[in-house]
Amino acid sequence: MIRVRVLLPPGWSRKMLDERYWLELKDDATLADALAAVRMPRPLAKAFFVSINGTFSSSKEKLNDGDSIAFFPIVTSG
Amino acid sequence: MKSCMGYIAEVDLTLGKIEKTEIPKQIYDQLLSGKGLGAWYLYKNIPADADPLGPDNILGFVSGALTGTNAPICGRWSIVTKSPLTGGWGDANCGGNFSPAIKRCGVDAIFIKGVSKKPVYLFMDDDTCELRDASEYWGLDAIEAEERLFVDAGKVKKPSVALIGPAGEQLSLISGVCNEGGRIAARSGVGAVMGSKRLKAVVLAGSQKIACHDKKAMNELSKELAKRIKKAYPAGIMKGSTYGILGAAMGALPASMPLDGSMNMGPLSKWGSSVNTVLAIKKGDGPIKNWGGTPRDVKWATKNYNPDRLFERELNKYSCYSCSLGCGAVINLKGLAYGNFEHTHKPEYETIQGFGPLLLNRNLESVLYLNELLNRAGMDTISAANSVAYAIECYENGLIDDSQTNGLKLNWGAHEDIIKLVEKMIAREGIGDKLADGVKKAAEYFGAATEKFAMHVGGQEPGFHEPRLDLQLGVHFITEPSPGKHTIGSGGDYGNMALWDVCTWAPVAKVENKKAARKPNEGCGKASAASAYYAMLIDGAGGCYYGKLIGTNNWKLISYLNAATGWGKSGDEYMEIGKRIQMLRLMFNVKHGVLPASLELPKRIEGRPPLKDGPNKGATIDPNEQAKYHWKELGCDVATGAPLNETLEALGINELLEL
Repeated sequence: MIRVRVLLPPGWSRKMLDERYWLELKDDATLADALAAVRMPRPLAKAFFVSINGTFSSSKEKLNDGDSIAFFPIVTSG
Repeated sequence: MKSCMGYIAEVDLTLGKIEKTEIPKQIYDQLLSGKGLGAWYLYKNIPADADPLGPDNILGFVSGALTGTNAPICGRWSIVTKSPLTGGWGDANCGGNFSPAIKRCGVDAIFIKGVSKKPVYLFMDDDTCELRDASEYWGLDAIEAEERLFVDAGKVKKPSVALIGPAGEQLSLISGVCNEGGRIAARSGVGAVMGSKRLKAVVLAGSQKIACHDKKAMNELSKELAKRIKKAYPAGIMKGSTYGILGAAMGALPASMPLDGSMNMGPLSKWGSSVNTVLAIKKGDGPIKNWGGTPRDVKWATKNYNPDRLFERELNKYSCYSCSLGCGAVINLKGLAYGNFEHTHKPEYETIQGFGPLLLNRNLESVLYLNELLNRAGMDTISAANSVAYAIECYENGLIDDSQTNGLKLNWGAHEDIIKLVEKMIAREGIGDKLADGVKKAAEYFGAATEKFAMHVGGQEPGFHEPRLDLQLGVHFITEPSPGKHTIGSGGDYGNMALWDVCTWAPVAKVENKKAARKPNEGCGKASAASAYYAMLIDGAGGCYYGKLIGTNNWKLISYLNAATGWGKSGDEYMEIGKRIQMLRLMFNVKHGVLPASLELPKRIEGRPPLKDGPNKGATIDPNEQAKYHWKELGCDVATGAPLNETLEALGINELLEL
C-alpha cells in the first residue's frame, strides 16, 4: 500500500482521508484511482487544476508513496 | 556537530582586537547554529542598558548549521543585534553566498563590538583576519563599494562581501546590510548598528571545507527536491494574471483551507515572490492605501503589477547558494523614465506591494527604480514604504503641509514626488530626515495627531500581509521578538508547511469559516507556537523561509539535519531546539526592557474601524486575546509574555547561559 496526501477543495467530503489528509491506495495506484477514492469526477478535477507535487498531471499518472495531490494552485507570502 | 566549524570570531573595534574562540559543543547540540548561536551570545554579552548605536551593542553575522552541507535551500545568513528601531532583539537575513563564506573562514559566526575611530572593514580568509581602512569606500553606495572591494581584495576568486550603503552610514534606523549587488538583510535597523561602529564591510575569502555526516544521503535528498521543483515549473497556460483570478476566487470564498505547499514550487521558481502581488490584493492579503484601502481602490493593480511584466524584463535568473528554487532574477532597467541604472534585482513582493498598491501608485517603472535606489542605499523597502504612506496620509489630512515637504506634493499615487521623497530619505534632507528613522520616530516629531497613520508594531513597520485576513499572522506580528515580521508564520503558511507531518503535537489545519477563524481559539495558539519554533529551527539551520512554504513533504528539513549531524532526532526533538532559540530571544527582550506581551497592532490593522468592502469587509480581530493562547503554549507568563522559570529549566536554558 502507498499513502498520498490529498488536499480537497472546500466543501468536498474528506471521509476517505485520515485526519491528516492522507489516503491509502494500492501500490500501483494512479491519479485516477485517487480521484475515484475521493469521488472527484475527472473533468471537475481538471477544472480544479489537479496536481501531483505541484505539477499538473493526467489521471494516468502513477502515484508514489508520499505524493501530494492538490486541487488549487496558490502561492503565499513574499 | 560535524557540519559546524566550532568557532566564532570576536572583533573589538574599539581596541582593534580580533580573537577566535571555541564554542562549547552543548551550544550546537541545544541551539544548532545561526540565530540560535547568535541568541545565546547576544543574551550573555550585551548589557541591559546598552545603547543600540553605542559601543556595547554587538553585531553578529551568523551562518547556519546546514549551510555548506549540500542541504537544499540552506544558504541564508543572518545579522543579529540589539535593534535601534525597537530597543529589543533585532535580526535580519539574506540569501546569496555570504553564509557559506562565513564558514569557509573557519567560524560559524562573527561578533563585532566597540566603535572604530575611522571607517574600517573586516577582512578574513584562511590565514588573515584583520581590520583595514575603509575611508575610501565610505560614502559609496552598496554596489559601488562592493565592486571596488572585489578588486581591492586582490584575490583570484571573488570574495563575499556584506556592507552598508549611505543609509547605514547615516544611521537611518530603517537601514539594512547588503550583499551581492544590493540584496539586503533589511530589517531591525541592522545597517544603522553597523554604521554606528564605522564598519563599512565584512569581506570574506576563506576556503575551508564544511563537513557533513552523511554526504551520500544529503545528495540524494537534494536531488529528489531539485527533480520535484524542475517538474513543477508552471505550464504555459499558467499566466501571471491567472493568480489574480485565483486570488479573487479565494477572497470570495467564505472559508479558508490548508493548501498544498507543493503548489508554491513552480510559481516561486518562475516568478519569485512577485507572483504574490496580484493574488494578495485580490484575496485580501495585500494592504492598500496605508492599510486603509480595499481592492476597489486598486482595480488597475492586476494589470499594472502582473508578474509577467517583470518576467518579460528578466536578463537572467539566479539562485542563492545551494538553492534549487532559484526565485531570483536580474531585470532590465534600460529605457526607464527614471535614473540611468541598467538593471536591478527583481523586486520582491514586499517592495512591489509597498511602493505600488500601498501608495496607490500605478506606475511599475517607478517601483523598479525605487527598488534599485533603496538597494544601493541599503534601506529597508518595507519600512520605507510604510513611512512614505504615513507621510502621504498626514499630508492628505493637513497634518504635514507644503512648508514641511519642501514643496513636494505628497498625494496618493504621485510617483514622481514619491521618488523625490525617498531620495530625501536616503540623503536625510528635510522631511526625508524625519522619515528615515521609520514611522514611530516620525510620529513623535510630527505630533500625536499623526500617530494613527503610523503603522508599526513596537517601533518596526509590519510586512505587507493582512492580519485582518489571517489572525495567526497578527499574533506573530505582536509576539515575535522582532515585531512586525511577516516571515515567522501565518495561518496560510501553516497549511502550506503541513507541520503536523513532522511534529506530533502540531495541530492539523482545517477548512474553517473565515469569520470563525478570526475568533481567538486554542488551535491557533498551538499553530502559532509550532510556526515560531519551526521558523527558529530554520534560522538555526541557515534555511530559507521559502523552504517552509513548499511544505515539509518537499523540503525535508528534519531529514537534512539528521543527514548533516547524524543525530537521528525526531521532528519533536528538533522543534524543542526551535523553542529554545525563541525563548532566548524573548529573554533578550525581557532583559532589555521590552515586555513581550506589551505590543499591539495599530488599531487600523485590527480592523478598528472595519473596512467597508473587499475580502476583509467588516473584519475586526483581537490578536492580543489570541496571543494569550500563544504565550500559554510557549510556557510564558500570559500577562507579560516573559518565559516562565519552569519552562527555562525544562529546556536547560539556565545551564546554557552558564557556559
